[in-house]
Amino acid sequence: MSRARGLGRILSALAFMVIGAGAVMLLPGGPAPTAARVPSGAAVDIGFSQDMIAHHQQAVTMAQTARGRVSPPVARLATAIELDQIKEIGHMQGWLALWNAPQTPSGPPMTWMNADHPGHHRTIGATMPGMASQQEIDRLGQVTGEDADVLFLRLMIRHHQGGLIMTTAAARNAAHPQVRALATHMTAEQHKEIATMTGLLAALGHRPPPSPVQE
Amino acid sequence: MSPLIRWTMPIAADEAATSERDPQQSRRAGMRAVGIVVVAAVAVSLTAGGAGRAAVSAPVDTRVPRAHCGPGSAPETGLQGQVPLQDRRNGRSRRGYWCNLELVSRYQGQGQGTVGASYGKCQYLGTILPSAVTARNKGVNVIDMSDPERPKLTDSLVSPATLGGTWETLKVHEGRGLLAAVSVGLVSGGFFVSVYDVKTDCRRPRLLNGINGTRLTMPGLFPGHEAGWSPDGRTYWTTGTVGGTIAALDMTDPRKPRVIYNGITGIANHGVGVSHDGDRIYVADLPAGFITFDATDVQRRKPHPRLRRISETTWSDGLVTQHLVPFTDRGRPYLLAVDELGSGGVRILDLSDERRPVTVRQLKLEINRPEHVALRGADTARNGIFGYDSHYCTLDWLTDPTALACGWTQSGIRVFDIRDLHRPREIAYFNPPAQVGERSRLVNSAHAFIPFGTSFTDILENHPDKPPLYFGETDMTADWCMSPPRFDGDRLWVSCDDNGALLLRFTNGAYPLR
Repeated sequence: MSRARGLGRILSALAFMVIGAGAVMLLPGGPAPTAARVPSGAAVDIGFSQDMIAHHQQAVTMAQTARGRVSPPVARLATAIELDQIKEIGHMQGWLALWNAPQTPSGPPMTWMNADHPGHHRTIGATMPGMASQQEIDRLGQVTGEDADVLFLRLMIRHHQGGLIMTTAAARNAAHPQVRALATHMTAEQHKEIATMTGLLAALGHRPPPSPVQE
Repeated sequence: MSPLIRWTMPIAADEAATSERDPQQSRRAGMRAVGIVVVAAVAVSLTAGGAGRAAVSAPVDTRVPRAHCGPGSAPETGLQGQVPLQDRRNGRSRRGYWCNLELVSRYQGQGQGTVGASYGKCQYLGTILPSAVTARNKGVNVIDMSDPERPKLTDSLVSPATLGGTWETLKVHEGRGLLAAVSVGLVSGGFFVSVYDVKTDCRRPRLLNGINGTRLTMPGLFPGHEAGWSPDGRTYWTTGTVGGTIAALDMTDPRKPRVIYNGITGIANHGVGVSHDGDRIYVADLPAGFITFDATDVQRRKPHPRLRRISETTWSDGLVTQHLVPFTDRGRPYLLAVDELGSGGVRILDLSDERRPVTVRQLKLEINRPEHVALRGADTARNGIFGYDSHYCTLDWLTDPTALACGWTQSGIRVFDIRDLHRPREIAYFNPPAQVGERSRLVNSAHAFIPFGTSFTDILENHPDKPPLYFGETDMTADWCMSPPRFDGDRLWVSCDDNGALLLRFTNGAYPLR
């Protein structure tokens, strides 16, 4: 795998981000008359997009932190996750821009899910499930060899599991069929990636972390 | 694309001429004159806002009558396609289930990864990434079954593309006798393609595009997760799940595969099917559906080729469309669409108006019916991420097919009579013995490799984590059969993840269908 080509892929992924961000910056202030009409009940669509951008961004950060520290198979997986999630971040940023919605939520995360979880109130102000702490990310940037493989896989498995809670809710409850479709796709992909990472972890003789999801 | 494109008669140098009928000849003599797809040339205006996503919403019949199992069968004990929890617990599933199909030969070896291929009397077992390190016989294992009593490993294909993770790219073009694969790695790789000559001696495939006679191949820029040959064997399409990428490789000279198109078509692509003339491709578009493209530019090798979108078709009953197979029946063009998850099963679409494909029939097994969601959840709670789902299917002929055979993950190999497309019925099945306790040996089985426990096929119906995520060891209580079977007279060549290469024979006159 040549370094130049890897760089090319990263640059093209960055280009996606720049395009997404550019689209956001080009918006005039205030409600644009040409903004795509958001159907009522699109709170799920907006909330999911805002929260998933933040959630994805941490996966990208973890993949970038692990670069150069993990073995080739894990590095390939990390690159695939990084490129895929950067692309999806741009996708969701584009939606938010068209809906004339803020790129980041103003309140605590996952409030859009309360309708989906009757009697299942998440503590307001809590972080999203599966998110790594800053200390964990820092440690990922310090370890090498098999320790890096194991830590990266454990953090990313837990991270993906947390994301599934949001993707399944959006796949069911989003107003736009396009949002439901992307959320469905994310659900299937993340499940497959969790399975693959769990297999890699098992090959290294380690068990997966406990699920971040408490029923 | 059906990995074995039955377009020209295979004549392998190392075997006597088979009694196989030329697939180009229509089954019904009277239909020969119209046994060719006539694809209307549709001028698509790219400025007209594009074709909308035509949702296929009208529900169609999905039921398929059970097979009548003749003497010598060991029928299923529960619903059609089911391996009941009781059978998994008491060991019954270790004996397997069969109906009008019997085992002739098996070579288990180290198991196989997802999609294998076969040609003549040889089988080629797909690889998974870790087996590049863990396998005793690394690479794509070549199994010679010319003596079914003594199947043997004759070679193992070690090259950048075949070593670790071929996923759904390992495909034979039967007419040209070529076997190709792309390095996929863990999810969606690319960069390396290998092309082997299997015609000269299927037991010892020759790498055609090695650099100066080595096993190394030139890297190129193209995606890899799925791949499919055009019926003329000149183009090998590859798609990537990450980023909806797609590429066409020119295989006119298999010693020098050339990328002639590389682009992006959707959010995420899965399998690809190619029309008989190569002018149309059907790309599985996730989560469920496909996009029809005019691929004339690529087929005719025009400079600066473009894919022109003709239509998009989606559905909600099913998840992760796997691959597409175009075919004709009584002169009318159809498309087979197979869903990998969500119990969508196999769908038959009428392509008479390619801008508005219409689903005319679906095929599901009883266990896939909506009322059995809890039952299948309980059965498959500890046997890995795939449940009772169709994965890769093959038609016996691409013109006036009579039968359809599918690898149906935990339900085994299923064969249907489709002479009347509107009234399919099951005629045979073979669900191989569960390989409980054999995990550690099966280093090349995608099923055995994944310890993660529960099927997520019904994820959209289930509340997140109901059933809860299970991380114990998979119980291995049913194999995963994900490969496309190959019809060969009264025999069926296929491979399953845990059981490896299998040769099956129809019994009780179930097939060929007269």
